Amino acid sequence: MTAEERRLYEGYRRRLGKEFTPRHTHGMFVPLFEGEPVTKSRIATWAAVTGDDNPLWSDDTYAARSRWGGIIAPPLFLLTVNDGAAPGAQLVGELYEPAPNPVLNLKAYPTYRGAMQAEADWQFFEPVRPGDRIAAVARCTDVFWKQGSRFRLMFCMGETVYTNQHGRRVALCRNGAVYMFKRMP
Amino acid sequence: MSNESRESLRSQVYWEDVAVGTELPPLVKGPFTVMELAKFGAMIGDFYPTHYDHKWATEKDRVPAVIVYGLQMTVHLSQLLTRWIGPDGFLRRLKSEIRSPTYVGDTVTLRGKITAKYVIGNEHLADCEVWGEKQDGSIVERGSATVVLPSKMAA
Repeated sequence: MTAEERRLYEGYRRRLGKEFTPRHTHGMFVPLFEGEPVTKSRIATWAAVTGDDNPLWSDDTYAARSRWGGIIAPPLFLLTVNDGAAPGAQLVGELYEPAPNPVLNLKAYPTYRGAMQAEADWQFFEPVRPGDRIAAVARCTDVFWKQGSRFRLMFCMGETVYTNQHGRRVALCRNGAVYMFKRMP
Repeated sequence: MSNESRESLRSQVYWEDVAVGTELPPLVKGPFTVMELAKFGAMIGDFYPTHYDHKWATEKDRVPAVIVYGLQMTVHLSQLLTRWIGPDGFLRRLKSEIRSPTYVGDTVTLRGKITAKYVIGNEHLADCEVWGEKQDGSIVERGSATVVLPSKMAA
């Protein structure tokens, strides 16, 4: 680990376990609709954008006959509340040049080569419905190194809990970012 | 949507109807377009240019073409499952991992197979392995899922 890499690693380690409200701060992201009531039209837009023609998301009559008794949102509609990637993305502000320019900050981190996603694990407890207000709370859970075939990989793991206005958990997302660094000579 | 596809969505799969090894009806997504990616990016608030700017993707990120969002690929796996489980099913868990990038112009076929079925409390559950295959047959993502299905016994 180079000195800069150690600084990143320690920076993530210091964040472990602390809950925070996920907010995008880097210019390559824009804020979403967290906390605002879910509407039928937002669900329908999500379904259209993701090419999902299941009438359970948009057809009142059809959905009324389901066990849910009305329209529900597709499970990953939650991505429009929060993308669940905030914990792993905590280092983006350091690894990329200041917003809105998303270029690798190679001056500060010359060995950095880019990022990818770690395995994502979504659990769903109940569906999101029109009228719901969903809040997300995130925390960083682990940071560790692995040797990849082409890069050294720093895994920055986290989780995001989605809760509705009744205080019930609707979903839990565990995932992480994998930051790739040049192999040591 | 055609009446035919509406009818097929209306048909409900029951826990008793499925067995280990049962294959899910495949779902084809693509060929992906830059416009589709841009709309998706707007919905999730992620505007990293490699998902809509060919010049950026090929020159800065040095990849062959604009890359489909990893989250979009996860959404496609979830659609494979929600279509299949019908209006009374529920997707309980979805784990997935990207194996190789998918680019604009690619077509991905999502597939799945049941690996276990069991009952916990009142819930009738099935586990599946799920994956996405590119037009050349290569695997672009893999995962596993747990779904709750309605039971004829409970009905």
